[in-house]
Amino acid sequence: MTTGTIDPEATTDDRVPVTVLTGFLGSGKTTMVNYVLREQHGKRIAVIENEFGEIGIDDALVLDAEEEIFEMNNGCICCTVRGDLIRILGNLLRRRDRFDHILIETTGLADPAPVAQTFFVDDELAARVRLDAIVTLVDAKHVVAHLDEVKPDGVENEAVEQVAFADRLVLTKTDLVDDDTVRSVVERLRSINAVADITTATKGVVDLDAVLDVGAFDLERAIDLDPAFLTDTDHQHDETVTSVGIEVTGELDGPKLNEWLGHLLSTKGVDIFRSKGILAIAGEDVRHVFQGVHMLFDSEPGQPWAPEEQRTSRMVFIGRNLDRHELTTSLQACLA
Amino acid sequence: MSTTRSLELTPRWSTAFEDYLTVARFGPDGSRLAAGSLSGEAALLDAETGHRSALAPHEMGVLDLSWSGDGHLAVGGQDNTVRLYAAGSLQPVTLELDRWVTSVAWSPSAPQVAVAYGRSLGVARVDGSSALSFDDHPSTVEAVGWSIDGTRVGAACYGGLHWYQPAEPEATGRVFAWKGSMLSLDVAPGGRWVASGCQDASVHVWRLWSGEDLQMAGYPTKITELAWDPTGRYLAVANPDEITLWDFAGKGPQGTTPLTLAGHEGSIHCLAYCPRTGLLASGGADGLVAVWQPPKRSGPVAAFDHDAEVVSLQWHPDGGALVTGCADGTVRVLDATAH
Repeated sequence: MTTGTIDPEATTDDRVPVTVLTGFLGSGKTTMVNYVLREQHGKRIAVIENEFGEIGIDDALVLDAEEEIFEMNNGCICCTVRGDLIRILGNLLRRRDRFDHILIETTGLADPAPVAQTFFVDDELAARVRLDAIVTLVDAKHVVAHLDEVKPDGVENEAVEQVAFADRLVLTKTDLVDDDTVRSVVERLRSINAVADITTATKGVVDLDAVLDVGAFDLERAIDLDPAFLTDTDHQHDETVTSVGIEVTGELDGPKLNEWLGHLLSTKGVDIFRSKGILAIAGEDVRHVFQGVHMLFDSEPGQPWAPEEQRTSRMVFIGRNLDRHELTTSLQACLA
Repeated sequence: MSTTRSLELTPRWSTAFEDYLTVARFGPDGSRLAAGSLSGEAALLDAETGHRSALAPHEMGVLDLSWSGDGHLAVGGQDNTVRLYAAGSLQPVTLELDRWVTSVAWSPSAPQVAVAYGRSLGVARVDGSSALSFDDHPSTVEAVGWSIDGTRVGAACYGGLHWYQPAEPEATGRVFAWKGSMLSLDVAPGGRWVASGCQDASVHVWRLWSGEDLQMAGYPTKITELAWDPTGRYLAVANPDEITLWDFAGKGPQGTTPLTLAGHEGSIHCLAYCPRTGLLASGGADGLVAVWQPPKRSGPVAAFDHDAEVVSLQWHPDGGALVTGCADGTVRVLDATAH
């Protein structure tokens, strides 16, 4: 299944932002959640996780969720969703009590895709919440070992998936390793996910703005890519998980772009974990901010173009078997 | 069935709960109704006056309630409890469970109630003694329901409908399988069919008890609202802002085109057939309650606008009134007067 179109008519967004917090056991998720709950940030936060039991803490609400993965019976192999989240969030959003932010903690071995896809697939949720960011905590001391772990054929390395899916990577336990190790960890993370912002937390303390309300604006900035990344050709047809960034100058034809993206993600969506873009659509005064998870995608209006500004579009694909040349020529073929 | 020409809906009374009104249902004799809200409030309301008698609260919210034919009441909620009120009593027996109580339904034939909590379907007697529990469904049980004769009880969950015979708990249950998340369970009057809405935007109707599965796919969104007409011939499906009406006479609806009833400007949240007149009421996000006279193709025969989304709807047993529940917590009884 592919859903979504690049919709120029989309209106301002008052949906509740959702942050999905992933990371291996020991990466510090619980410490981070506790910090978010304790910190005086003036936001009413609902946390959904599976360890606390249901409690209210000051201005926050913690709800217990037992992961229930549903496959959608529509022929799409990668379209799985979290049924428990549909039920729990559906109920939460009916309350008069409004939350400023929802934080969902996943289990250490979780594939982030079902959580993220839930917000695209369930229309009732899609109308009321938006995926703000997938934040992956990375234990600086152990992550490389997890990333290097060889899995049997057909089994995903969850650590690689969690890094690949991230909009934000938060390095934890940096106080346990030396600076050279931190540098090599960052380099390794970059080789998988070239666009996620990388920040550091010590003992669960992190700038909350780096985790909550990352949002579309951040996406625009994140795709402000290092030019070298846009031309990097080392990883063609690489079976490891990498990122490909593309830039084209000029305006894109909306219908052509929709057709190409729809086709691309429906045929290659299993291998493409995330796709993101800042797009210049012909006839539009604003940028279009695009994001996709496997075969599902969505877009919303972004910042306006300045009157004489050169229109350019940037896209990033994170996944395996990515063919930079093919992706680039296909996007160029969508120019108006 | 009635040949109503026009119908007028006029408010009799309304009362406010503090949060989203989850469910409001008339008791079997129509003199009182029970209502519950996500604020946790539960109450009995006099059908004539709206006078309120509080029931025990359910912290974090009431999720479902059910009346038995002889006036027993069950109320379940997010506090992991179900409270059973024997007919005429305001003193409940409370069953403490370990998960949200998502659905309750009394047996049509015996004083026992089916309770969905977490992945389990429990059956309890009115005195609170637990009869049975069927556990380890593939997901949380979204809805429970009984066969017309009360011999079988069903659970809707991911993977289909699971059926059990409480009188023979050791017998292997039956499964009407579908690889999707089933969201409701509605047995047709007459007992020939069971209908269930699915997260994957399809409706499944299984023939009881051959298990033959009729599918109606191609809806825009997940199906949460279904209603059988009192004869068991027509199935109304709300999705998202229109009602489609499937005719199960003869060979059934497969390959036919359903009748469409349009008029809401937003998602339809609730559907209710009047057991006496066969009129169909719908309530939606637009605040509208509309009354239709299917299978006539015409527009609504009556309408009433609410200030908030209408999320619960039921006819009075005598067909002369409706109770509506709104997202802002309002419960309202509307007189339905034919001209």
